[in-house]
Amino acid sequence: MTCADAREHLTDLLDEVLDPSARAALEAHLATCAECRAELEGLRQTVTLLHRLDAPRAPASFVDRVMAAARPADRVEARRRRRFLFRFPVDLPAGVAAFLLVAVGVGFLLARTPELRVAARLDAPTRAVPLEERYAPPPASERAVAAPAAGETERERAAAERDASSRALADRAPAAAPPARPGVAQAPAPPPKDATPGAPAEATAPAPPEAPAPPDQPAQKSKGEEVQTALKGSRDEARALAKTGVARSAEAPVRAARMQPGGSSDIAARLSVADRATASTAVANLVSRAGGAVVSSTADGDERVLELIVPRAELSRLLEGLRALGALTGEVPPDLAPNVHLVLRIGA
Amino acid sequence: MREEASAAWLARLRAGDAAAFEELVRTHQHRVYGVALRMLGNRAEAEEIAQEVFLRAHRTLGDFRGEAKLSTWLYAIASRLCLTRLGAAERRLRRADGIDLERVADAREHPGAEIERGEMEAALHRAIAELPEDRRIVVVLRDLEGLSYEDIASALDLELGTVRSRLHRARMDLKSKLERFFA
Repeated sequence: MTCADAREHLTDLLDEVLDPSARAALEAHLATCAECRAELEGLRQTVTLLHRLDAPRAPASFVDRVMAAARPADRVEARRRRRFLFRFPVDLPAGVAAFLLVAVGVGFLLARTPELRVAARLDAPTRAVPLEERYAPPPASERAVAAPAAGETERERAAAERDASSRALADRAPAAAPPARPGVAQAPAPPPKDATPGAPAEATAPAPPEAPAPPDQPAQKSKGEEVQTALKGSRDEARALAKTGVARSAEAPVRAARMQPGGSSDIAARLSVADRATASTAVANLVSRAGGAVVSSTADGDERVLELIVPRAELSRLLEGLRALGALTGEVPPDLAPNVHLVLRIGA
Repeated sequence: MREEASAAWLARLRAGDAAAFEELVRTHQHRVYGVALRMLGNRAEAEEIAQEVFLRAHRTLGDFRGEAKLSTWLYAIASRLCLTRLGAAERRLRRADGIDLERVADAREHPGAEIERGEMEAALHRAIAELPEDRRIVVVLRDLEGLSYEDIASALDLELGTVRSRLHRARMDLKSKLERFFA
């Protein structure tokens, strides 16, 4: 045995893992080789030093920390099992609930947002209604009893309202007007509180557009206003005009609040022109020059409906400008707020 | 270590019995922590790894067939985790930057009369820490933890001859660095 061979097995000898024959051969070599014996002794002392090392001890709270860390794993695992076991009873209703929630939310938004409803009905042209019909307020009795039928579409409601307006104009007796067409007699009604007879219009400024003015109110003419147009109707009729086929009942207060910064009044007017598009642009320019703003511009059948906010001081000049564009009809109420809300229909 | 675990206790352990698991941790904590500390040279890392050893054991106790000793199984997990940690790029970088090692033989642990012994231990720990990782784990398991060659081969998934060879190389390395402390 060479020294190299012997040294390869010194560790085995120390650990007593050599088989008897190999052990005998190594011990024979060591008996004759001082260097290999010294090597063996060095290894033995090394191992002795290693054995003298104190065994490290884990920190005092180690067990507690491990147990605390293991417990959440138990809980997570248990929760995972529960979810697996009860997947259908729990998840399916949750999905259905989520669907219903979204559906109700969309319906609510659609109901509360006039622009969405306008957009939804843009491709469905409405029947052209004579101006007089538009201006005529619906009979009070109809408003009081009529309630929107569940599932009634906006077009049906708008048509029913126009029919109601037509009847009112024809009868000139709103309170006693019978339904013109029995099949569409259910004109949409405002919330009951708005139908209270005799409620002053100012007290319900952001009230639903259907709220009619008292019969005598249209007779009140503005005092200092230099408007020479043949105006008729009332503020509430103006609201009705603005909202015809657009926004009804519940959204009106919200809409009115948005449309009336600083408490503006409403004016409904109609501008008959040859070129609707050109006139719309011209109106926008006039409003801009008057220091006002076009709040919205929507199509309603063959007409363009512009909702404008104009400073009261500039109203006269605006109306003059409008008259220069075409035939202007409408009425200016007496008590205008600093910012006037004007709904202008532009049509042929 | 509790090598002759009763069948009933093992059954409770596998079934997730918290008391049985706590007994397992209590029985093996110092050895598992010791391996981690010798291998990593850092108390915080050692505790983290030791904790992970027991958590892994907790998760996989159901798979423990009892063919190996429970202690060998834990050493195997500890060894793998330590070697993985030592091989992590992040740790190599920290070592290269010299930010790392709170040596086990920190002088703070050996005040006053124990200085000489502390010096020897410091040299010993340093020598161990400087061993290549594959040799270090073998010498730790053999000379510090007292595992048999067979158990080491089982824990590290090595051939017996490889264990012998690595152990011998490790001891030779240590001898050359510790000769000044020989009697």
